[in-house]
Amino acid sequence: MKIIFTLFAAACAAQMLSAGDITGTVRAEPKTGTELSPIAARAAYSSRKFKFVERVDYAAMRDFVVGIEGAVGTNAAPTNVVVVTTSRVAQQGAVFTPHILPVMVGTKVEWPNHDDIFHNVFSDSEPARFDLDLYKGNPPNKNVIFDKPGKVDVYCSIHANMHCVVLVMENPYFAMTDADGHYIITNVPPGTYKLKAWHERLPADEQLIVVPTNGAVQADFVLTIKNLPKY
Amino acid sequence: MANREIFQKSSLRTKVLVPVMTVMVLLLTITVLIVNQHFKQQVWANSEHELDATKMRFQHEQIKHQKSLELRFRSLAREPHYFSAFRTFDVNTIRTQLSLMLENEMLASEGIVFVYYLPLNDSAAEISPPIIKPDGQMTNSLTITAGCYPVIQLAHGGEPATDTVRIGDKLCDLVAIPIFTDSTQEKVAGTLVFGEEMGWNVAQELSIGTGASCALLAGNRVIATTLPGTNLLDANLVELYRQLANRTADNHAALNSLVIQNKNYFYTSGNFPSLQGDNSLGYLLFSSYEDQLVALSEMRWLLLIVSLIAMLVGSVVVWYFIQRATAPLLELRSSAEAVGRGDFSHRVVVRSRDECGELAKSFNHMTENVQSAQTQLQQTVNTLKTTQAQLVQSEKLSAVGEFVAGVAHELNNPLAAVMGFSELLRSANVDEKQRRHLDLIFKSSQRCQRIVQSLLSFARRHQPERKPVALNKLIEDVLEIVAYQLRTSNVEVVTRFAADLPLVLADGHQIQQVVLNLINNARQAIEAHQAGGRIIVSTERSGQFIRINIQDNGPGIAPENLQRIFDPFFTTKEVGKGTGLGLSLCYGLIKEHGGNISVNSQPGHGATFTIELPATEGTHAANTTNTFDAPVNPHEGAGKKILLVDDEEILLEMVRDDLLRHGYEIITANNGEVALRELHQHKVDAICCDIKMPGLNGPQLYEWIRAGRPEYARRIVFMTGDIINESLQHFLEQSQLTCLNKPFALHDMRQAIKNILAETEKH
Repeated sequence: MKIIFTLFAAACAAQMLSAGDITGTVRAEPKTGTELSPIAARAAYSSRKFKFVERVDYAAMRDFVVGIEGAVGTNAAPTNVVVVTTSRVAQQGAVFTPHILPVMVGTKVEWPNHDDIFHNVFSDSEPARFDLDLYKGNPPNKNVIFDKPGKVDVYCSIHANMHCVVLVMENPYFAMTDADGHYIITNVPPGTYKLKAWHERLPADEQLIVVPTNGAVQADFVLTIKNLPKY
Repeated sequence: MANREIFQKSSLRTKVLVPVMTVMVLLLTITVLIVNQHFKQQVWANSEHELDATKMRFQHEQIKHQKSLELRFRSLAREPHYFSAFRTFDVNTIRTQLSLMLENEMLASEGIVFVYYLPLNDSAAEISPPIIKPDGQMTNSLTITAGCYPVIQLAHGGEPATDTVRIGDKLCDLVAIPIFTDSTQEKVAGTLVFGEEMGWNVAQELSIGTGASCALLAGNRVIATTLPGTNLLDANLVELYRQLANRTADNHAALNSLVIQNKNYFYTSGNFPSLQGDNSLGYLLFSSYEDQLVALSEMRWLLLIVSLIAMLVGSVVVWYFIQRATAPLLELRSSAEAVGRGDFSHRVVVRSRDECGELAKSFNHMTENVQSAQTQLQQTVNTLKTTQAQLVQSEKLSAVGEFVAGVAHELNNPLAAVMGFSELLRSANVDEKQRRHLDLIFKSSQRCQRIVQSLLSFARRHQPERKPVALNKLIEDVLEIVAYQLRTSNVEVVTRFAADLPLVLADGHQIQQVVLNLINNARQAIEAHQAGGRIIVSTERSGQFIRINIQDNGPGIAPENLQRIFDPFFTTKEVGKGTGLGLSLCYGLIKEHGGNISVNSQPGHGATFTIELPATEGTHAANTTNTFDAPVNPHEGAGKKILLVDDEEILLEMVRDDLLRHGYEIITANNGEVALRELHQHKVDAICCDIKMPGLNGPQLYEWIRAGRPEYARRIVFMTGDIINESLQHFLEQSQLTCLNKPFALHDMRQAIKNILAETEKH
C-alpha cells in the first residue's frame, strides 16, 4: 500500500507537466480452445498422462508487473527505502513479504526479521549477489542496494520455502496489478514505448503503446503459455 | 482247547490268511506308530529350530529397523538448511526447523514421536521437544527421561547411536545423531535424538518380517501385539513373559506352547538391547504350528489310508495266491473223493511242475494203478465166477457122469448076462433061425455094451495117453453117443470116411471129446436156427496129416466172432448156457497133439471146422471083436480049478457054465468071505473076482490073499462094471492085475484066464 501511495503521489506531481497515463488489465489465461467442464478436467488430470502435471489456476494468478522497457528519460534513483519483512505465517514456516517487489535501479531494500527465529537472506542471482547471514530482529546493515536491472531471487538458507523476487526496473514507470488485475501507470511522458507485462511463472508479453500528452492509453494483457516459443 | 479246535477246523486258506493278515496289520501298525512318532519329533524339532530362527530374525529385524532410522537421519545435520539452523544455536530456530521437518516429512505418521536437540555446550539449554501425537496435535506430555541419556552420551562421541527405551508408557527406539556446526565436522555441537514409538505398526512390521506373531512389552504393560486373538489378557502375556524371563537358563529345556483361539502356538521371549540394561523391555514371539499339526494329522490320515489300502491289496494278493496254491489241493480232494466212490474217470489236471504238480501226477498215476488193479480184480473175479460156474457145471457133469457110470455099471451086469447067455445058447444046439436070433441078441447087446462103454469111458477120468487110434471108429463111437440127440433135433448126419485111414497116435478120449464138442456145437447152431439140418463128417488123408471136417448148414459164424472163436470164455450163447471153454479146450487139445484146428464160415452158409492130426504109419487093422464063432474046446481047461467070486448070481452062473463047458473045474463064491473060506478048503489055479461086492470087495480080498495066501496073488483076474474109481484104477496099476470090463465076451474072459495060467506055469 505504501508503494502504491508513493507512486500515486509521484504521479500527482508529474501531472503538472504534460504527461499521460497507461491503464489496463492483465490476466492469465490457460491454453485456449481446450476448455473442459470441471468434471471432465478433473477426470483428464487424473489420467495417467497428466497425473503429474501441475494444475494451475490461471484465474487466481496475481502479482503481475507491467512496466516500460528501456530507459525513459534520465530518472534519478529513488531515495526512499523499500522494506521487505520476513515473518512466519502461523506455524507453516516463514515467508518474505511481499513476494514480488518491483523496484527502480538503485533502490535500497531492507530486510528486517520480525520473527522469533533466525533467518538468513541471500541471493545468487546475477544482478545482485549477496548474503546477509543469520540474524534475528532488525540489526543494522541488513540491506541491499539493487544497482543493476534484472530479476533477483532471494532465499533463506534455513528455510527452503522462503523466496521472494526483486524485479529491478530501469525506469520508474511500472506498476503492479491490484486484486482485480487492474494497473495504472501515471505521468508517463508522451511517446511511443514498449510496454511489457511480466509474471513470475508465465512468459512475458510486450505491446507498443503511444502515450498521449494528455489522457490515458489502454493496454490490456493476456498472459498465456501460448506465448511460449516453439520448441 | 477251544482255540485249538477252531484252528484245526479252519481251512488251509484261513490258516495262512489269518497269520499273514495279523503280521501285516501288526507291521503296519508298528510302522504307522514309528513314522508318526518320528514325524512328530521332527515337527517339534523343526518348530523349535524355527522358533529360534524366528527369534533371531526378530532381533535382526529390530536392529535393522533401528539402523534404517539411523541411516535416514544420519546425514541430516549436513544438509544446508539444518546446518544453518543448528549454526544459529537458537532454540526457536532449531525447534521451528525440526517441527517443520516433522511436519513436512510426515514423520509422525511413520511413528516418529519426538525429536530432541541437546546442545552439548549448554546442557541447561535443553531444547524442549516438539511432541507430535499421531493425530497431528502437538503435546508436551512426552519429556525426555533419564533413559535417553546413555544414547546421547554415546552420540557425543561423534558417531550415531541407537537404543530402545521406555518413555512413559511408550516403548521407543532412539537414534542419537551428533550435530556439528563447524565446517570441519569434528566438534560435536549437540545431539539430535529421534524417538520412534514401537507401537502396533512396528509390531506389525516385525511380525511380517519374521512371520510370527509378536507382543511387545515394556515393564508390566503390553505395548502392542499382533496376536490375532483378543481373548488373551495383557496380564497373561506379562505373566508369560515373566515366566520365560525367569527360566532363561534352561530356555531350551522344552518348547512352550499354548492355544489361542483354537490355534496352537509355540512361543518364546527376548529382550530388546538396552543401553541401560532395562530387561523389562522385551517381546514375546508366537509361532503358529497349526500348519505342522495339520500336516501331521494329514500325514496320519495318509499313512492310515495307505496302510489300509496296502492291507487290502496285500490280503487280496495273499488270498489270490492261497487260492492258487490250494486250488490244486481242492481239486485233488474232489478227485480223491471221486476215486473213493469208485469213479476212476477223474484225472487231476497237472498245471504246474511244483510240489502240487508232482502230487497231482502221483495221484493220477496212483489212480491209474488203482484202476488197472481194479480192472484186473474185476477180471479175476469174473474169471473166478466163470470158473465157479464151470466148477458147478463140471461137478454137475461129474455127478451125471457118476450117475451114468452107476447106471452103466448096473446095466453092465445084465448086459454081460445077455451077452454071455446068448453066446452060451449059440454054442448049444439050436437051429439056424434061432442061431440068427441069438446072433442078433448078441450084436444088440454088443451095441448096448458099446454105448455103455462109451458112456463109461466118457464119464471116466483118464490120464492122458498116446495110443494108436483109428479115427473112423472113434468118430462112429461119438456119433453113437449123440445119435439120439441128433435124431430128436432132426439133424441128419452124413459120414464120408476115407477107407484106408492110417492110425493116429492120440489120446482117443480127448479126440473123442473134441469131436463130440464140435458135433454138439453144430447141432446146437442148427437147432437154434432152423427146424432141421445136416452135418457132414468126413475124414481124409492130406499128406502127413489126417483131416477131419465137420460141416454143418447152420447160420454160420459172424466174421467178427471168427477171430475170437477159440479164445477162452468167448461165447455167443446165453449166460449160463455155455462156459465159452468148449472150443478153447478143443484148440488146446488138438495143439497138444501137434495138430491144428481151424474154422471156415460164411454167414448164412454154415460153418466148417477142420481138425488136422499127424498120421502114423500103418493102417488100422480090422476089428477083431467077433470071435463069436470060435469053436468050443471042452479040454481047454482040463484039470484047472477056478474060483469065481461075484455077488451077481446070474453072472456067476454064466461064467461058470462057459468055463465048465470048456473043461474047467469051478468053485463059486458069492462074496469075499465065502471066497476066502473056499480058498482054505481048495487049491485053485486062478481066481476070477468081481471088484464091487457087498462085504469084502475085490481089492480087500486081494489084500487078504496077498497077506494070507501070497501064491494066489498073481492069479487073480478082476471083473468090474466100471473102473471110474480113481483109487481102484490106482490099485489096478499097482497090483498089475488084469481087469475085465463088464460086459465082456466070454472068450475074452477065458483068454485072460489062459494068460494067467500060462504065466503061472512059466514060474
